[in-house]
Amino acid sequence: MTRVLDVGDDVDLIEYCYAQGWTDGLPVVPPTAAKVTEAVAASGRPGDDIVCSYVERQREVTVEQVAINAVMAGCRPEYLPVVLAIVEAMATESFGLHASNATTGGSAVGFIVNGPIRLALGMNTRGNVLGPGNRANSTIGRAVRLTQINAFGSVPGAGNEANVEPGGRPILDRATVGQPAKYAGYHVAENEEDYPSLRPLHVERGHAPDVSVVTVFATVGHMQMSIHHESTAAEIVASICHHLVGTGRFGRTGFCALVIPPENADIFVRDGWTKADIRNAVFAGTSRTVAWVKTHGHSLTGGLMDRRGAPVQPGDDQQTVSIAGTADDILIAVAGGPAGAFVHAMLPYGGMAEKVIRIPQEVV
Amino acid sequence: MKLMNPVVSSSHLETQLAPRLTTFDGKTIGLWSNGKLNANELLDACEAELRSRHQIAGTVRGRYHPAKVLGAHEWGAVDSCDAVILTHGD
Repeated sequence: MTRVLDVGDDVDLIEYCYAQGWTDGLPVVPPTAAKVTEAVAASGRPGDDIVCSYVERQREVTVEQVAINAVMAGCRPEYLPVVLAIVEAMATESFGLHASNATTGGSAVGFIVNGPIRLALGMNTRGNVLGPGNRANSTIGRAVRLTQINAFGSVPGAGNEANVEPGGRPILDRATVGQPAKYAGYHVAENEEDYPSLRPLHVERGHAPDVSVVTVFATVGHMQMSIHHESTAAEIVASICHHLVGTGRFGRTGFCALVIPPENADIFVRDGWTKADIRNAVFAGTSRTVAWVKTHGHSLTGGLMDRRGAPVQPGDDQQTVSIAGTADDILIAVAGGPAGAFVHAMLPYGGMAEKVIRIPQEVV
Repeated sequence: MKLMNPVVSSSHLETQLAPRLTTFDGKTIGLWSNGKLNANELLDACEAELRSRHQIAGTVRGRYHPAKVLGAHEWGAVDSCDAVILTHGD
């Protein structure tokens, strides 16, 4: 594949990018050599450093190739270390890269950024943290999707599956409906400053506070829970569990990512709960026997592999399943605006992984 | 004007296919379902075809999760098979 393309001088570059099938349907920033070089330099890594070996698609993806897609997404150069860490996390076995790239389900990438890099890049940890408005959150998430499309070859069909492939490349992403988070992902940066007793996610998972880490997961989407009438930590958790059990997404493996906004965090802190307390309570509160799952009209594996309401088998009342594989697989990030008690849950469509972000010294 | 190409093409990584069987006769064939709706129907048809054309020693059935990279211990009795056929897709 030609690395540098001479596109002539009288070309509308944005239209050129569309014509090549490089976009997600929205306009991209044309990836000039100058911009890409600046981004690679900001990563502190050689451009030919391999970030991901994607065996199923027989390709290796380099720092430079991720940088090209980050430029197109609108990233500032200093965002690249975060994008690279996300892509590296996606390349680890526990994430399940090919399933996320190729499923007919709506698998979007979610990530939680922790550590000093968040504030150094001006990431939003507060209002609309999952929504639009912040360049770093939005473009880092979009860079990941464009990397999926162009570097991983997860070219989305867009109603044209049976016709012409964009840019002549085969369509891999044949999602039945897709989901809006496939544009810019679930781009969370945790509010680590306001609730120190609710230790940051990366510290809970064994990293030093001054290390920057990204926790990455493939998700079917999110559920927004209104938890306004609950006045104690126990009541909040009971309501979260009620909603999660209602999804019927029980299993022996998998994760559950929870975004806890300040109104609810205030109550957890006031009642002396830690994140470990929340994790353990959510895990216990969503645990059910397999017999319960079957007799209450649910299915194991979220209906993907098992029929709903299957007959109860001997031993089903002795085996338990939950909303996550273990309590430690419940990921909790505090984030969001000061008004509103809306807890958000993201459930799996694939796996999860984490990666320490390799930051050049001058950034933080 | 020059642009950098964001597209990565296949690079033929150093992966090795498992040794191919030269015959099905006398072999134990694994039939592994991805759990999707029509998987067992497809595997039943495969088994019928294998039995009609070859003198296979037998079949072993198994199941895997289509959206997970499984550890070696999660593949069940694959080691008892000479070859394994997986279902793929919906």
